[in-house]
Amino acid sequence: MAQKVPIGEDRRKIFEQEALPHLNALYAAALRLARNPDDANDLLQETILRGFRFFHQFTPGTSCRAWMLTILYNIFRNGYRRGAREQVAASAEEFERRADTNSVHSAAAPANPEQIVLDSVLDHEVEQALNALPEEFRAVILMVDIEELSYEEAARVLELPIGTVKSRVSRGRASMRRQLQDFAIARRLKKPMTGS
Amino acid sequence: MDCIEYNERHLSAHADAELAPEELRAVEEHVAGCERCRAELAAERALKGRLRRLDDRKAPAEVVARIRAALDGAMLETASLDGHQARPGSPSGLQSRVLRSPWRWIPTAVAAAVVIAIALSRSNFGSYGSVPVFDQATEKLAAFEGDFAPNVPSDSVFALQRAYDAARMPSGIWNFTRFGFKLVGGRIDTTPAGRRVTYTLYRGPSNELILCMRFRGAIEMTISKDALMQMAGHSFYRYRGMSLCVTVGPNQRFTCILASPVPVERFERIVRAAAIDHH
Repeated sequence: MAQKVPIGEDRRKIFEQEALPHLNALYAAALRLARNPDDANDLLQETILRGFRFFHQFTPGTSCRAWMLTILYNIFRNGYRRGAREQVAASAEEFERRADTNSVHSAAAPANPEQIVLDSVLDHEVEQALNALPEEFRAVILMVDIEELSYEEAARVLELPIGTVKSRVSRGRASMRRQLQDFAIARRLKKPMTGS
Repeated sequence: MDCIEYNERHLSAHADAELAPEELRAVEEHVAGCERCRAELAAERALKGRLRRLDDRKAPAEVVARIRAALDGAMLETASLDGHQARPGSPSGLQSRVLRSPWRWIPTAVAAAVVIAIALSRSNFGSYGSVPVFDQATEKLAAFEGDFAPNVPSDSVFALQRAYDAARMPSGIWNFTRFGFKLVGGRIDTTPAGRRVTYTLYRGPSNELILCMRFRGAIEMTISKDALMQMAGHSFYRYRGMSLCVTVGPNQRFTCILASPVPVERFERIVRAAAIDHH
């Protein structure tokens, strides 16, 4: 028997109230995943429409933002990066290798005022360091640090084991910190204090 | 624990407050005595702070307009839709729908203000007569006040959700832990009438309780017009000295009744915060 789908004004009103307040946050997430405005625009539109189309599957009382982010990431993963999948996989592997051999967390490093550096870097530098991460790491940092999801929630949205979320957060941030220190050095704000 | 172990295995999770209690104890013991790791933690948190404060760039107006138009097309489609088995991640092609009628857009700021259609003109608090399912919720809440023993894993909302899922009980439970409430635990029980019910109990900062009772199917609701307030599918009542919030899920797949002794206005604010977004 055909399943009856909620229709009409109520569905639209509830969608407006629950999902559309997250429109700008979803756009920002789309932009950070896709890294170009045209793809982000398409990604946002497709996300909103699918969210509306499948809104009867949303459970009131759960986070609508996380639900919409799940849809957004699914579309991104299944569509927008398809052409570059091989390259992405290779870059993530290379990134892991570099992270292992060049950790910012060196036990030999002296105590350092890196926090001061992080307070002084510019927003566009933070964005640039984020953009420089391979997609898999960027997505995890996006969900945990920008969207403020817990590891469990991020694991659900990204369909990853929690252990993978944890290790990617760690390596992604370590890479960003190195990058931001490089920016700071380039701007002669400080000398390198960590790493070997 | 040494610096290498801390930095390689625990630093990020420490900054994210994601460590288990026993890990946290060991980690804090190390950090308390290690200036270098305290600096690493401060730097990690500083980076988190910078990321969190990045601006959300606004969606371009023309994209929003395009979405409005496409949503109107989608509205028309769903109005004639009988059913489907597709999932949100599968292709839909809805963006190609044609605008047929004006999208009555409510800007987000206004939408936030009109989320609640307050119907306080009704003064019939407690005049509903007897509603068996309301009695069940309020009596259970009173009983659980002094004696609540979880019978499913209740370490976290997520663990509880998994237990309910495993028992094939309705998925998706209210989470009030971001609003000053602690999870007391959950139970799966069977009523004398043979209905399987989940009970999830939260305790607030002043020991006030919120009980979430959920079961499959819809209830006979002939009093929805008497709701004190309605919010996006949630109806609020005052019943036998308790505040209630009733939600019937899509396609009447489940019913959820929240019960709490807190005043209905405060209860509505808590529920609204949890419903709209807890991130």
